[in-house]
Amino acid sequence: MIEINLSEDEKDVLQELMNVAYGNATAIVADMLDAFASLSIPNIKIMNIRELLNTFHSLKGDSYFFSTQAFVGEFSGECAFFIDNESANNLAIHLELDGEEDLNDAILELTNILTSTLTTRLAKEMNTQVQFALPSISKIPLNEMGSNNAFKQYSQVIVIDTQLNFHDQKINGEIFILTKDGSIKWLKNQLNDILKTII
Amino acid sequence: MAEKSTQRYPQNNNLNEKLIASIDNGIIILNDELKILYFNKWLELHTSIKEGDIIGETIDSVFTNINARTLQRKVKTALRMGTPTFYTASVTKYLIPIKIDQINISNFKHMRQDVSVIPFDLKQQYVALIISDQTNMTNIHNQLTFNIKKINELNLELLKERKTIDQRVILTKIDTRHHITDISLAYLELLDMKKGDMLKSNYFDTQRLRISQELKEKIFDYMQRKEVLKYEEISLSSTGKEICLLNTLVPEYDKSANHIGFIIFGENITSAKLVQEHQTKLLENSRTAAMGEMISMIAHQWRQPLSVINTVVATLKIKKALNILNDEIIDESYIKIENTITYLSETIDDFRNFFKHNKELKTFTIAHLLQKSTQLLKAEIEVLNIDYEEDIDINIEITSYQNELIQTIINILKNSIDAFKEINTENQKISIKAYEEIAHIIIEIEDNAGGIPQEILSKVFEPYFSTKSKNGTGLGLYVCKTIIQEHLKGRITMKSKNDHTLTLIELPKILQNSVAV
Amino acid sequence: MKYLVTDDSKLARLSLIKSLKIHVGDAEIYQATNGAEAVEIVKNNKPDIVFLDLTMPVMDGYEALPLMIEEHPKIKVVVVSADVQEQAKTRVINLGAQFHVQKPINSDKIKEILKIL
Ligand SMILES: Nc1ncnc2c1ncn2[C@@H]1O[C@H](COP(=O)(O)OP(=O)(O)OP(=O)(O)O)[C@@H](O)[C@H]1O
Ligand SMILES: [Mg+2]
Ligand SMILES: [Mg+2]
Repeated sequence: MIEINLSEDEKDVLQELMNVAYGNATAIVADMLDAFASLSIPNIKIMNIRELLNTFHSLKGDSYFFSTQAFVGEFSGECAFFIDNESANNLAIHLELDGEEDLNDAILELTNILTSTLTTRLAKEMNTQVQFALPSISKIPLNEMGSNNAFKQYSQVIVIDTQLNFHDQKINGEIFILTKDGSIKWLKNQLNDILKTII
Repeated sequence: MAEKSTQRYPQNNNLNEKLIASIDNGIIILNDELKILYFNKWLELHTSIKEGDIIGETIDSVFTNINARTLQRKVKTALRMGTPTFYTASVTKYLIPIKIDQINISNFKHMRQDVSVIPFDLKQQYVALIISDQTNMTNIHNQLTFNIKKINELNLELLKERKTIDQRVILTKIDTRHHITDISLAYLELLDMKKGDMLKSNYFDTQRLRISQELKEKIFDYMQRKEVLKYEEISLSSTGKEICLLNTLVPEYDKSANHIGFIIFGENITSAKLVQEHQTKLLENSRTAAMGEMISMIAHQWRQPLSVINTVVATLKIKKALNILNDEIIDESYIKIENTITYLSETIDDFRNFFKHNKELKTFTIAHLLQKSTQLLKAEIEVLNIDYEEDIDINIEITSYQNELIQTIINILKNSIDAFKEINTENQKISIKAYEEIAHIIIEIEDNAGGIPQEILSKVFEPYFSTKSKNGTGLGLYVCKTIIQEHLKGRITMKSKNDHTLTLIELPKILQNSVAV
Repeated sequence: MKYLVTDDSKLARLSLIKSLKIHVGDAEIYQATNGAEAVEIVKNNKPDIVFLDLTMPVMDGYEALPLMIEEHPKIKVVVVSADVQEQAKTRVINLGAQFHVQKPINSDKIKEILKIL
């Protein structure tokens, strides 16, 4: 397998696109929650699965809600969203949810909003379209993540890692956009096209 | 060939209507106030609600299970984002209550649904709810989850079982070169050793394993032939304790039936060995006791012949004093004394023979056996005026250990004599019968010395059980039983009725060679 | 007229400058990659108009904005940000920015802004 790397310029472009997309996503989530989020700079890395799992592991706290949503198109992959127990509880309080079912539904919705807006916007900036599968949720103890087959299909992933921070409500989450090998190449091309138009 | 149209169908409301009606999904169109604007055929069929009856109503007033706030949020978000929002069957179960009527293997009362909330018309702020039946999927998913849970449980149990096996079963695995490849915790504990020290070492390591060269060769032989072998081993623990194992050697094969080594299962018989040793000691003790008894018997036996000699010598003295001693009398006396002395020395020989501990199998007649057994007791039997009777076929032969058998019969007869001493009865009688039964010889010894009370009868074979306050060790019958059962491969039982006691001994006619103690 | 374009992203800076040049020709345009650099340039070069991103390392836009105005009270600040939350907009206006413009920016938007300023 050929190792793919992103140049500094490519990274910069992707980061800026993400920034724009993420701004959109947060605005919608902020609407949904009627709250104000502080935006952070997205972190972009290409890593292999082991590194990815290690990254997941390094997320503190032992009990996380973990939800994923796949997207397909020229640009395809999966979004993973982590939210810790405390944040999930705060989300429930904030939305006045009662019961686990409602909470799970709200987390899925959050995942869906973040994923849909982020990826749709990202796709739009790169002149393509994506479609979404139903999001799914699981509450996995992080130490079992390694045995989770969900990520085995990826050999190399672009990880775009952003934080969702609602300071006042104490809701924090972490979003990963994972793209497969084929899409990484495609993405690289698109990024270079964009670079050409400005230089 | 006529050119087929590859153009898209023009926007045709009729066609859309038809398509949507025949689609296998539920479709509802709502405005941003959740009012129903469209309700497709599929839903009409499944809910038995007519579209005409609910147009313009809010969806949560028609289906009261719907949480309006949540739906409102999803509708608003979908319209805001321009991309769908969802309800998932795994979390929300269902949105529109549809009873499941089909007789299928479903665990649910209501159809499980995935619902996509699609921004349908952004200008008018309409959304379409696409409802798909996920009952089967959910069923399968639940079953899978259940099975996975079960498999995990079983796995755990297996692991636990493996652990208990490791902790309980004495087991050694060796490869074809006799190097230890695995050893169970149970064995390690017995040996007081660490796994690391044992692995890769040779199973036949003489530091630990104490087996004879002969046995070792036998094991090699069985290994060569890949046959199962039972054998005893003695291993030395790190603290020098001897551990006796009864081992079963089993060849081990891998999945493709290649011979990869042997598994040796062990049964700890160290304590059994101890019991055996203890038993041997007991027997030895009983022999010492018996020796004491014999000496007293010899004393009995010798009293009469000694008095014969005394009498002869006294007669000789008197006759000499009277001067009537002639050669004839001297010769007569001489023969008498000589005979008596021969008899005395014979008694001693018998005595000696008895304690020589002859380990060889011998073929002899029951008549001979009884003669030898009673020889030493005769004097006492006579003194006590006991009627002794034998009813045997003098030709019956047996192949067994003679001395052990004599010891047994003496013990039994001694008990009868002891019993007679305790009571006063007329017609005191001991009778012995012996007869053949296919492969067995039966010897019956009966007395009428008062019998044994039933509550005692079950205890007489126990070691140290005695009703004889001072003189009894209580080992007599215990030793008899040990000899008959363990060494002579027979059976001994005692019955008592009225004032009679009957002892039954059943012995194999020909005892196969085995190691006697 | 002197301009300052502040953004941590090279892409964002270059595309903004490209659009800007269409309207202002060979005017002097300074660049900064974070808030601290921007404040320094304002202090030394006194640009007239600043385009300011919000999320940046070292010093973000919220922090830099009042410092720039303090250095050069006549300065006009246009916040160019991906953060489209209503609260974010009111916050920067309250801090003294002239405009809050949504990313990505294009030449039409710039034209309009320059007209109003
Ligand atoms: N023929 C018998 N008649 C009555 N009691 C008997 C007879 N044989 C055995 N017993 C009873 O069984 C008990 C156990 O007999 P056993 O020979 O084992 O020990 P013992 O005779 O008491 O002691 P030892 O044999 O050392 O003299 C005796 O004490 C006695 O009570
Ligand atoms: Mg006895
Ligand atoms: Mg930035």
